[in-house]
Amino acid sequence: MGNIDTVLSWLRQTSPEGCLAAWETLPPTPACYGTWPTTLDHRLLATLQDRGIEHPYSHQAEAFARVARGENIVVVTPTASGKSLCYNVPVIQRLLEKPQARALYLFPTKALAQDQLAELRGLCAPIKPEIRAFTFDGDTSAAARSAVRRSGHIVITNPDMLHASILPHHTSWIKLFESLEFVIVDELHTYRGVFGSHVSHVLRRLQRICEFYGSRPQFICSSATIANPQEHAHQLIGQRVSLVDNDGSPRGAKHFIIYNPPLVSADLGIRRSTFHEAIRLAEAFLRADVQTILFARSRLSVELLLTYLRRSLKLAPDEVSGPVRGYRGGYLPSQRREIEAGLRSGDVRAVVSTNALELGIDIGRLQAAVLVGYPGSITSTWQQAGRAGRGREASAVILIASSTALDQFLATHPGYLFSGTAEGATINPMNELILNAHVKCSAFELPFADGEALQSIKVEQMLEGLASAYILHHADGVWHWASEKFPAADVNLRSAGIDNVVIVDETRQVSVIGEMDYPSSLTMLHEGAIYLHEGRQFHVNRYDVAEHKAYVHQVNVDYYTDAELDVDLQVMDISESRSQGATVRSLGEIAITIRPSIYKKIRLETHENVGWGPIHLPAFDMHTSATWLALPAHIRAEFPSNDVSSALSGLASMLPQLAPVFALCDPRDVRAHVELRSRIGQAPTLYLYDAVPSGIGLAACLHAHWDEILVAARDIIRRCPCSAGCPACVGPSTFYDRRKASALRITERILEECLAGPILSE
Amino acid sequence: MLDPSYPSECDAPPHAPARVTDLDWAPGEESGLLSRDSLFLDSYRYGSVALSDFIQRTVHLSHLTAQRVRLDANQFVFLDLETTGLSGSANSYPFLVGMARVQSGGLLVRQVFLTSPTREPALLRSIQSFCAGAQALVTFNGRAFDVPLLRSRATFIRSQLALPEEHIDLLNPARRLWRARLRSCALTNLERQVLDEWRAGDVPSALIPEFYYRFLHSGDAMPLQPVFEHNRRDVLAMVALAGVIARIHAEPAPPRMHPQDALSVGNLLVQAGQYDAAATSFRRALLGYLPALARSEAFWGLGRCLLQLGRNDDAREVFLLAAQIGGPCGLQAAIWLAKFYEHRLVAYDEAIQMTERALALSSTERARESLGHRLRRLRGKRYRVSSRTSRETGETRPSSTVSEE
Repeated sequence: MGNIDTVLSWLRQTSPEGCLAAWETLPPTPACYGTWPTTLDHRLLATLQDRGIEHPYSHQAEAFARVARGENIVVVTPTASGKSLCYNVPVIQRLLEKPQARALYLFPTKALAQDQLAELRGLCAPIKPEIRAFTFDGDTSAAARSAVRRSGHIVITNPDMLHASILPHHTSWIKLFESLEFVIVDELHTYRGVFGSHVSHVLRRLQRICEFYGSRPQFICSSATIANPQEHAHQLIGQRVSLVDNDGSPRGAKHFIIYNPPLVSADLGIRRSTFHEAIRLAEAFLRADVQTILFARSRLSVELLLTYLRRSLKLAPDEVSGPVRGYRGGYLPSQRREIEAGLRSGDVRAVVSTNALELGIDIGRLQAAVLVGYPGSITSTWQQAGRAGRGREASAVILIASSTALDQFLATHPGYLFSGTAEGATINPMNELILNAHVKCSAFELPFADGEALQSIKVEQMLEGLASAYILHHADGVWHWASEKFPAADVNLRSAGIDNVVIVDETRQVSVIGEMDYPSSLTMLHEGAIYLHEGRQFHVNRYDVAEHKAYVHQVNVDYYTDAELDVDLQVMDISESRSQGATVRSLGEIAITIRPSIYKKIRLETHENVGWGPIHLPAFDMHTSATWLALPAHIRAEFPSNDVSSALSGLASMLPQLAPVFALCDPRDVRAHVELRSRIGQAPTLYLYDAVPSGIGLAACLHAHWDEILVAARDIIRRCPCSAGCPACVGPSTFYDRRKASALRITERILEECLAGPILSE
Repeated sequence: MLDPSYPSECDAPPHAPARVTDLDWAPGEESGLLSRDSLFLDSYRYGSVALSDFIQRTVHLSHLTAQRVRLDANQFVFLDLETTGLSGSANSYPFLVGMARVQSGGLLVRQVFLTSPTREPALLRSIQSFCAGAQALVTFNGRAFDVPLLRSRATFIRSQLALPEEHIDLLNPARRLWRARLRSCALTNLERQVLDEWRAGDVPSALIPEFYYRFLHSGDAMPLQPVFEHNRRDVLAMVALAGVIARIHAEPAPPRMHPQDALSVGNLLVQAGQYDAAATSFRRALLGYLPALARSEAFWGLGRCLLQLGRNDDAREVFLLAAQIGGPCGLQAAIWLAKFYEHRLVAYDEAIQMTERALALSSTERARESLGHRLRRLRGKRYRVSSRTSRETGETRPSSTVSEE
């Protein structure tokens, strides 16, 4: 077992001044136990005792008691605190009391469902009569499906399958719906924004069908720490929910350190690379035999960090097994399972992961977590930090601040993280487009009677609208579905649709090594790209867009590739436009055309540019929502046009980094675009838009907060110690010396006018 | 609990009847239904088949019931549904039922049309009342589609539905009889190829739900006329097809039958254990032109019938012909012959020759392996026998029976 204290004292002694931006020590907490009720089935008690669970933690006992009283609950406790027993114990107890009862488990991903299936099967194995648990998802074979429908006591699925397959075919699932006693909604916090609004309606439709078949399931939800778990659960399921958050699991002391890499050039605001520091810290942990997880913010970062870490540990860079592994979306499920098992057994000593390991995948707990850059939200930060801390041992979390504006803000304001509340999850079930889509689905599933609501949401007007569109037929006081369409097929719960691209390795024999979403493939799988997969380098030989396949072969080169995208933006529709002071801020729909243009070859370690090549791939079109601010003519006239241009591009590089403060999102969910002469108003215009097709409401959120965003930007620029712009503010300046000054001045001028002038809506 | 989608019948407002001018439809047994009865006389022909063909030979359809009970013509009810979708989703329900039953003077076809989706329980009751006293339901693909759908709808709207005890799905025998020749056993294809009936202006099935939804919105049933006709023709085609199948069971191989059909009939009869009739069918098939593989199949079938009838020597002759032609059945025949020569006749040279033939015909690794093994064993036996006979001639030969290994 590794000694974490030596690493921490080494860090304390050797870190240059100012690097340890914050060092909080969270005191250890002892375990707090409750007792199982005397009514707990002896078979269940025996299987729990076999697994070494003599007493429940306080939160598990309370969850059980509240569920026994018939309450809906939401459990909010840290990662790996034994959350799943909070639902598995009440469910199994009920199934033993009532063998015809059924339970439905919802997880946001298939991987989590598989994980839960394994856990449930382990728990149920010694129990007789048999409790049958099955997963039901896109991978379930047709033959297995009928067995699941007929005889599954516990059906584990995801909201997407529930929406598109189970609910519209509820007549095949009568056994489930007639006796459904529990609905488990795990990872509740992932159901937020537009996705969450969709899921809330799927759950309403579920309850409507249950009511039809005469069942009234109880909900057991669990969530990561968010500001409003109870309210969020209430909104999501449309019912009262009580909160269980008396975490009784024991915890050792936890050191939470914000590490700001030392300045290389104070003048240019350049700090030592986060990667470099991450590797140095990870290496220190590993040499002290401390099992460590590194969280990176992109897939490419995962691969680069993995490569560097293996190099510095003198490991083969392209090992597919071994003590240092990567983990991210796009690895094959079998590969992921193997890495998870390696982490549990301790064979894997370090893993570099994207936020894929933030959710409740069972990898046990590690001793140290290194967060390479701020994950974008307080919730994610604590989820990732929760991966460190095993039993009563001390653990360490080190957040390495990158040179982005937001990370530097955190490094200078650590209170934002330690005493600020986690973000709230918001959904909007009243969003008209989303509601309408689900009223359709629900009317397809069961005809609405006059005056009937969708779980307390009045829908009469929508029904009338659908009838006049010849989608419903109103007769005898009943609204019947009367269209040959299958409505669930038109509604995708998540914005990232489109087929995945399969990555085929042709090095020796043809095998599939991974997959990737289409938009990412444009920059990562173009011909000539170096694709990194678990530290191995592959050269992309051929990308067959029509077949969704990229053919690669393994290589050993000293560079990686980074593609550049040309972005063209066109305003399609303006839904709101208002003047404040002299500026005009608009909200509307835009079309973005993203065309990969060239790729650069960048040498590993030194990051110098060693060549380039063209990319021949079709452009990717995306319709989404945007908010934009047009610079008024008289302010523009105060500056030379070069200054306007560099100021706006400076703001464009900075504002997406600030977006998470104003809308619950990741900095990468928002993109910025500058037009020096807007096609619609001729004025220099700064756009902020949702980075996903159709938008997820972020632009609308930002639209309402332009003033606050500009104030925050102004303050960051003012406080930044650099002289002419740096990565922490408006970005490093190479050509325009006045970038920082002009960005600041223009922001100040806009604010002067705006905060003085009244808001005028058009 | 209250059922939100189906108001109880007493408080349902009287439904305005759909406009059916120019249509020979009358209000059905209950409100919300329209019904049309058509009587087809015994002498009516659908394509090449006379209704009387079915009525006279219904007893032969009893072969197709689970209990093999003898049934009279009026104990069968034919049923075909038109529904609002094929997806098997919660929103797929029947809106038009076509049913037929023999009664004095001919065949009564009753169609019941649902003018308001809320009246689905009445539609199901109308099926039940038409089926009263019948013993067998006859459908085409009803085992997979019509019957499960009706059962699921009955559960869904919480009403009872008693259907006749027996269910004959004509798709089953149709596949056995005609798949080899026609490939597609869709009702429309069988209608053309077997019944020699060509429909003009028929509605494609995929468009039918849309026709109904348009009616719901407009209240005008006139555009549905082609759908009503489609449904009535489907019912008549089913009756005619049942007649053809009954005739095949009554007279397995009539002189003008297509050789490929005669072969299929033979296979069907072998399964039913009617070896005599099957042998006649195979012979009839072999009298006409058959492609090589089908010829070997017919020889193989005939040989198996002959074996069952105790005519082993005739069977051997026929198997030799099958083995000569080849194909999967030729392979079977060659293997049978090899065993026969080895065990019954103890003629190792012939057995080796047949095993070599089988080896040449076999296409799987596993078959070749086991045949190779047999060949080595036979060569060993032949060697031992020849060396033994040279020493002591006149030894008794072993006589084991032919075994199907």
